[in-house]
Amino acid sequence: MGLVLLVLAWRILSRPPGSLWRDWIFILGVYGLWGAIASRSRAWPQVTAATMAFLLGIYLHGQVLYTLSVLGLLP
Amino acid sequence: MIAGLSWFLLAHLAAFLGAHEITRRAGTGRAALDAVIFLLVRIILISASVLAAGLTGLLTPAGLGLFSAAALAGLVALGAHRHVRRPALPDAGRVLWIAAAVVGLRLLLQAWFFSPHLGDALAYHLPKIAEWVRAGRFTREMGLHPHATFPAGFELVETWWVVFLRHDVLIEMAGAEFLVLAFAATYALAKSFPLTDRSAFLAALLYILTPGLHLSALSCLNDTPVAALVVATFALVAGRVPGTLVLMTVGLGIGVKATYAYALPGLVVIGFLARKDRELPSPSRVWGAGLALLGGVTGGFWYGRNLLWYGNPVYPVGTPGYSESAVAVQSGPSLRSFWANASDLLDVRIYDNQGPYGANVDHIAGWGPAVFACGLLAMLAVLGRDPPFRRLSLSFTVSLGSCFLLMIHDPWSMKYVFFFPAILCVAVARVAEENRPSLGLAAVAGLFAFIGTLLPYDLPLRHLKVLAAQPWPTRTALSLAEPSLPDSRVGCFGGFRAKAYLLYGPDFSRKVVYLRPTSSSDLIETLQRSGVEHLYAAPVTIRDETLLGECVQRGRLKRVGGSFYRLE
Repeated sequence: MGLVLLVLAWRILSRPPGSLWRDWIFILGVYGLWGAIASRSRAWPQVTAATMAFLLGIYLHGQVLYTLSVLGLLP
Repeated sequence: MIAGLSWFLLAHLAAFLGAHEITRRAGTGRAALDAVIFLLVRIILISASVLAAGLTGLLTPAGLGLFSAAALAGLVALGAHRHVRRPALPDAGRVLWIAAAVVGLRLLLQAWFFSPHLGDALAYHLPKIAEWVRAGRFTREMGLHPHATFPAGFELVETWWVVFLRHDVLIEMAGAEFLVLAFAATYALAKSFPLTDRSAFLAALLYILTPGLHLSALSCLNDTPVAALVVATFALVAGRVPGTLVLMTVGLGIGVKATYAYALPGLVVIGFLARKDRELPSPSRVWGAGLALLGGVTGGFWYGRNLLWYGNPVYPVGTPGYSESAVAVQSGPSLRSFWANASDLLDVRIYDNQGPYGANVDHIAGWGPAVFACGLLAMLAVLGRDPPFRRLSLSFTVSLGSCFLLMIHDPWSMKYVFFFPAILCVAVARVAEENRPSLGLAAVAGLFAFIGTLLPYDLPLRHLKVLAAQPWPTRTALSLAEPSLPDSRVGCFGGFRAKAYLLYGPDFSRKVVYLRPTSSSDLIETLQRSGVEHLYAAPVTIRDETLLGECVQRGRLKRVGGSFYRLE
């Protein structure tokens, strides 16, 4: 828990506040915090999958246009 | 061509049977680890054969082919063929097997239609292969790139794929076979936890779809071989395989590229942490020592050769002026590099949003969506509850850190740590065992990685169409950027940007004369003396540009298109 809070504090202090929602370390920190607080929750698999889906969205948003361009699907 | 194809088939059969027989005698009895050992032994037999042939002047289709035929006859006489059995395949399930078959089939098609195209490979790695094949032996001439003298363990395997046919149409198969090793090694690593066959298979499949790793394997660069060998060494050490087999792999790795050695601290850590685990039965001392010796010789050869030729095993690193050159690599550890590499990876490159995928992963990590979206989180989830995974993660991280400490921070530096996604892919598979929704997300990420690894950015679809439209005997990426070259001899002048390999032609039929002139007059005289009418020039320095400009101004050279000049 202490380590997770430390990581969260580091990211909050070192990143612009507007970019935290797409900062993977911050997102993993929030996930870790939730895990520490609610480790016995039955929603654990859903929260894990939702976090992964969110990260996948961030990733694809950054890469998909490049890939389509290489494949000749974009000018 | 028929004779070459016959030698090619004989040699591959001999390498297969030899590796199988040695694995039977020196293997561990664990199918997953023995698959890794088989692949490693095959690579080391190939490397040692090409090394011996290169040193003795037998690097010809018939020379290496006759040697292979003799080895095959010996193996058959010993009855090695009687022990070949259909291997027990992992119980990975129909979907994963179909996915693997699709990836494998695509890999073969990519290897067939891709042609060497990447600047680094064309300037630095491949010209030496062309010189060797043309001469039928190792040569002192290896091209103009300052790093031509670096270890060439991977080039030995590439040579194996071109020497029999005297053609480079299959050269990408060398990288593909290291990708197979990466698959087998990740599978073995995952099985050591233990994960189920299905999960281990998923981890291995996700790992070989890592964009940077996959595209590097098809671009004639040696970073995928290094990554595959690092993961293989981790699998062997974590699996408590006898030390001689580990030493063989270390020798092989160091002979491919010095960056392999950068990852060794993590291997020491896992060796220490796993020291109390039960060691697997040792092979016979003779086989173990023999393989370790072979690894040491094939790996150490390049350093010994450089010591003999230049008085410096890592020449040109450390020579006066080297560190100022544009392609200089770092020598020794640097905390500044560590910080720059680590912060750049964590804050920027891991998102892969600074550019498209490619073998050199320019400004990105090239780790792909499965690692980013699923792997990092899965690692966090597994770390807390799985001690074997924890110690392996720690060891991988130590290797990552030591690489960051030793490698220069530049736009391409993440290609030296392609091994790290392997542990993250294992974590994904571990979490997916219990969490069905995350399995679905890993599948979506894997599908995107599959699409993303169809083509590297430096071989876009329009270029691939040009290559695919050429008949395979004349297929070359030279036509993508330069006019056709009718002469059977051409001069090559410049530095690390000179894509010299393309000048040889795919069948190595063109003689390339490398020019290192001291003046413009010297350049012209050397061309005349060599009987060369056309010059390929890719000047890098101001001095080179001035020298070339003088020749043009004096009317001795006339530009005829692209980078080509004609002697007037």
